Amino acid sequence: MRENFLSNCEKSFLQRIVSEGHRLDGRNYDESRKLDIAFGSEYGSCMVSLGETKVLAQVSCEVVQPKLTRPNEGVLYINVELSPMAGPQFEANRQTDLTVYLNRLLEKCYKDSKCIDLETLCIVAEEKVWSLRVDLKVLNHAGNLIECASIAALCSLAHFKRPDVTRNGDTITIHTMAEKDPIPTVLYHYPICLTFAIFSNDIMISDPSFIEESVCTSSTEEGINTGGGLLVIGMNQYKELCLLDLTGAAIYNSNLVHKAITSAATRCKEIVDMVKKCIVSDDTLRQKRVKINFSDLITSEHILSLSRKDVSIRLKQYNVDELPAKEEDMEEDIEPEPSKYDVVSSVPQTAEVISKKSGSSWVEISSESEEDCTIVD
Amino acid sequence: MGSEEIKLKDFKLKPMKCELNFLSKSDGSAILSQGATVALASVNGPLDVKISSQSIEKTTLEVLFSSKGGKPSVKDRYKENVIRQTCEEAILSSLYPRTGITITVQELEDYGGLLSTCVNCVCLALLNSGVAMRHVFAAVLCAVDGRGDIVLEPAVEQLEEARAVMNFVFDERDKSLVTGFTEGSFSEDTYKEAIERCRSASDLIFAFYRDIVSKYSNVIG
Repeated sequence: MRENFLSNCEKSFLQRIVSEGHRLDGRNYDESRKLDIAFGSEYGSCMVSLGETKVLAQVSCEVVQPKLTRPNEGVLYINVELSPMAGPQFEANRQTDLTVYLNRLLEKCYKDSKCIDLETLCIVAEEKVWSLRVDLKVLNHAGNLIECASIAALCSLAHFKRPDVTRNGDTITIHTMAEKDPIPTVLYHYPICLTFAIFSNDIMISDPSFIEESVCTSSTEEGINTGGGLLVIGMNQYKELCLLDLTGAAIYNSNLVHKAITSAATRCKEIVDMVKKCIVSDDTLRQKRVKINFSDLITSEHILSLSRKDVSIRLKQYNVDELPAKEEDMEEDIEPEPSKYDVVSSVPQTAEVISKKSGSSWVEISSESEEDCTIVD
Repeated sequence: MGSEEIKLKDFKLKPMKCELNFLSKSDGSAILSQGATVALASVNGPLDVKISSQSIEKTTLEVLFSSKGGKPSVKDRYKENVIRQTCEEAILSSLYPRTGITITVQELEDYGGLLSTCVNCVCLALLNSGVAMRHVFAAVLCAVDGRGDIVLEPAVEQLEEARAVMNFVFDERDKSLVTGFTEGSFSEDTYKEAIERCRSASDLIFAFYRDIVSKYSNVIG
């Protein structure tokens, strides 16, 4: 119902500039947007932003009964949610094709590649195992969701620490964080998914934006496929392929896949190194008992941001005359500029700001200035 | 005498930090931190909705609260209700008939007073989205401790020990109470005093709103 429609002129314009070697945001074909990782105060919570695309990840754990087929293995559960926050086209609490697709790809990338040692999550075989749940909330969908979500999932899993457990005969004690140091998750390797957009079976661009994604998978007016598609490559830091997925037109140029894999290998190493570095630096900060919180995300230099450190009031016998006296004097000196806007009452009890009708006026240019400008032959 | 002295001392609100337009795809969004509690809100609308949920005389307001992890719970629904009722009062819904406005709130950190931070964050997101409003609103949290004293903006430990926790939302024009929700037991006098204290504290939040709006509107206008 609330679908994003792509206009023909947008589509043909984008296809043309891509074929001429440009991209809308001025990047090169193999250039990715800026990656940012921020950690929350709890273990296993992080927010990853890739350009404007933002994903929030949170890992939680609980003790459950293991599956009958795998009695000595823990459980890993990945859940992706797309709320209207991600974009107005998404509806609340409804499974879309995109959520199912994302969930499936991430499960392939993290469960089927066996990157997590599930056997260490076992407490008592056939009775009690840890179940890890990764909740991924898409906050802003500006293209290449799968790459952003997979980095967020990897980051939160690598950052997560579960409480320590001791067994004493038949009794099992789960220690709090204060009693015993929590245990980090064991990861054999760090896989991530990378997306490549393919245009007319020839040009390949990495980290496509929202509009590039929708253009390359769309077909022409007559329903003929333009030979575009999205290629998702899952790879770990040892350049081992974990997953390969293609949506859109079939590729009949095998060089393209080879090129994508070599380009993914270098990019993957960069990202995994960055993830590891972020986790180490976060850990050292935590060892120094620095409070890490999502509020650090709010930058102060941004024009739309504001922070107030000391908001203090005195509730009783508050003397207004004491403090602002000086400020008032200063304000009087500055003559307020006549406002260009009028405050007009619209609906009862409300006001609206509209620009004054007489706000703009003609400026007369004096004859002297005209003389100055005359061109002398 | 001792209690008198306590009443006279300065109360400090937790440090506030905010950024508007945090998300690019939403019509309006804001991230707000009050102390260590952080919330993110986005507003989409007015946009078209299903005919079954359309109203011919006003806009349909949908509020979604999403916790950080785990499954949705009854507590989330309660928060959605509080936010929806507060916003329905504030938004001029008769200006947008047959449309829908969706407000989505995401919890980022909860160190006490999450609901009041969410309410304030939603108000900032609404200001950012440009939806016509009757008034802006601000929520203030206070707790009644074991001795019966009122603590404004309590810390997590104070909240756990508190006898009662009260949340009040005020409108900016007449400073009248828009929403009030309480937990625990308290006397009528305590309630009245708590309202008065929170009312005067709400001025600071309104001043913060005004500062942030004037900061960017100066550049535009």
